[in-house]
Amino acid sequence: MQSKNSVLKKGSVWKVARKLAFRQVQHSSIWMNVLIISIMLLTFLNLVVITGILTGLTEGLFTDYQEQYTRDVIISTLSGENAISNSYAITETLNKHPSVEHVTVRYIQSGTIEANYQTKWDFESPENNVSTQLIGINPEVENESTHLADRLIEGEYLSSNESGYVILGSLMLDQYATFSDTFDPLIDVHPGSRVKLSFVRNSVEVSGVGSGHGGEDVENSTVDRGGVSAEFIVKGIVQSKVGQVAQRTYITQQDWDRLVNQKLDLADEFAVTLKPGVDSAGFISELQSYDFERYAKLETSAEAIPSALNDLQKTFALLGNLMGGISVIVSAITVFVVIYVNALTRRKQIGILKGIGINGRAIEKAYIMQSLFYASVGITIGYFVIFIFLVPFFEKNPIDFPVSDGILAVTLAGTTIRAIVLIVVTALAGFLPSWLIVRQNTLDSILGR
Amino acid sequence: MNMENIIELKNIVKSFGKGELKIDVLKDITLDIKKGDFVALMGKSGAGKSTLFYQMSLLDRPTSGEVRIFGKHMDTLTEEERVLFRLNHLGYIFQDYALVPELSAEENVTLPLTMLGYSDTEAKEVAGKTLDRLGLEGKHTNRPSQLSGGQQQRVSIARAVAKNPELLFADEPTANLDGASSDDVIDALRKLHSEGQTILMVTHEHEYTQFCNRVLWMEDGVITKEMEPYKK
Repeated sequence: MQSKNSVLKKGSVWKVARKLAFRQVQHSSIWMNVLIISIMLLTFLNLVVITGILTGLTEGLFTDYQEQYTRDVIISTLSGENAISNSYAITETLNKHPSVEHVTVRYIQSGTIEANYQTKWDFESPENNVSTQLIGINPEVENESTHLADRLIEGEYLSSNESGYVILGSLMLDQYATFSDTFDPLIDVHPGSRVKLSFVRNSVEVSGVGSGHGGEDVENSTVDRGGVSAEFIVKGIVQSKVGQVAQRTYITQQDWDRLVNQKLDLADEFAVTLKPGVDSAGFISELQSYDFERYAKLETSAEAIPSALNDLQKTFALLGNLMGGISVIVSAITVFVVIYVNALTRRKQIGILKGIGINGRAIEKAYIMQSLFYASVGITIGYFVIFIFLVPFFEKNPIDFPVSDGILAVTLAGTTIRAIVLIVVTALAGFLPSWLIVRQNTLDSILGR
Repeated sequence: MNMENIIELKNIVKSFGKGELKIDVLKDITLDIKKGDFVALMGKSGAGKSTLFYQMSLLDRPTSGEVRIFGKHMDTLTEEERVLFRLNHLGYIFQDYALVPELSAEENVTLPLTMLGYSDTEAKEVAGKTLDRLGLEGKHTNRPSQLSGGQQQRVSIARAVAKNPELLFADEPTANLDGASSDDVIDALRKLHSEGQTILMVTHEHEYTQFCNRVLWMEDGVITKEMEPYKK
């Protein structure tokens, strides 16, 4: 008896497995290959895109919130205070700071806005009014920061040179309000309509009221029991999915000054746009070192996002992972069934291969390699579809969700983790059926017993 | 052990079923096969020749008795060791060729060689020479579906003998072939035997035993007689 191998040579199992797997894929039906690869592709897309869209829904909301409202850093009134008491120093500091690109200062007062009062002929008819936040802005600076003018859906934007005009958020208007059951919106208000703003002054000082419409100081502004009421002409209507934009009423700082009589060094909000590359948290730390925290609440855009929205994002991410997990299981079962049927129809051949001395592990590895091939091709195509097509597409064409413009929020790292999960699950789904067939008695397999 | 014996069977019994349904397919068979033998195993259907063939070729385990190959007790081997033993020492020719349909003739032959650790170049060279020796020049890259039955069986023979096995098992190698192809296959086996190959063949056809030196006749699970090989 001549001396032969008592153990298999290293690598020979892999070489045989590779040869079997390659040829089986090469010579199997093209349609079967296309079908399996399509299943892997769709599973991968499902795994990445569903989660990405659900996360992107809130990401879009957060992006809108930052771009249209908070910018990079928002400085707001401390709880219990009426205004930021050291506004002048803060304004000066921000305007001179080298890291700051823009600062928009907002003056805020709660009040009501009334329409259709000219046609209300008796005291019993209900008033057509809504609660609002009256915002005094420098229109040009605000537009530089938040591009408020871009949100106009009717009329024109405010100008610092004129007086007596107002911009209304669309959610207060009947024709745009989507939650009209929660309040009575203003009916039939369009650019050119006259509306009455009413609010209570914070300041105890009540001086002559300079308010008007059409750029004129008018005499029909009234001061009653510390309250102020003035008529304005609607110049434009802005629409946004950010409530802080769409439920506000904007007037110029000059009109604010004349109406509210709050000193302009008592601002309520600063939305700060930082230069590219400047870290918001680091910038806030610097402001804290100036002791600004004593006078105002300093928050990055992310910190300013209401916690309910953060919870919503986590919920959506969880839902996305859950749905992705289900799709992975479905895919694993599909691969299992395909490989099992494939291995079962080749049971006799597997028996013969074992009969002629081909190690069972080589046969199992051949099936694992086939599964990995299908998974790899599907995933590779998936990467191209996601990063070359879908992400740019959704960036240009966000999904018009009621609450936000949804984007596809995917990262390379997150996608790669999902790809690895899918590959591992597919490898297992390929191994299990081949192992079940290979472990059967060799002679039974050959004879089909 | 007699050093000339390659296979030694002692009191081999193979039973199927249990209790009253128990059937003894092989009944206390004792047999020696010597190195260089060309043995034909014949018998009617159900005589037990295939079952005996499977015991000797390590594709099955007897219910009782002892199978020794090269003096080594085969029942002590694990399933994986038996696979490795088959790879190292035994060659198989199956009735229905049993080629991997996706592989070319050459790849079918190289498969066990690669498993044995041959390099790709070595395996190709050996496979090519073996195929040529069996009259399959120009057919190396053909897949089984592109070959006739006789050619496929010769590829199957090439796969079995390329690795120089000590023992070659042929399970009714001509059963699915026409007369001319059967003659080719038997002639190929004759040549291999003349080069010193030990062969054990199961066949129904007495005329294909003409090159055998032993012809065993089985009936009802027992080797009843040793016949003369067929003579023209």
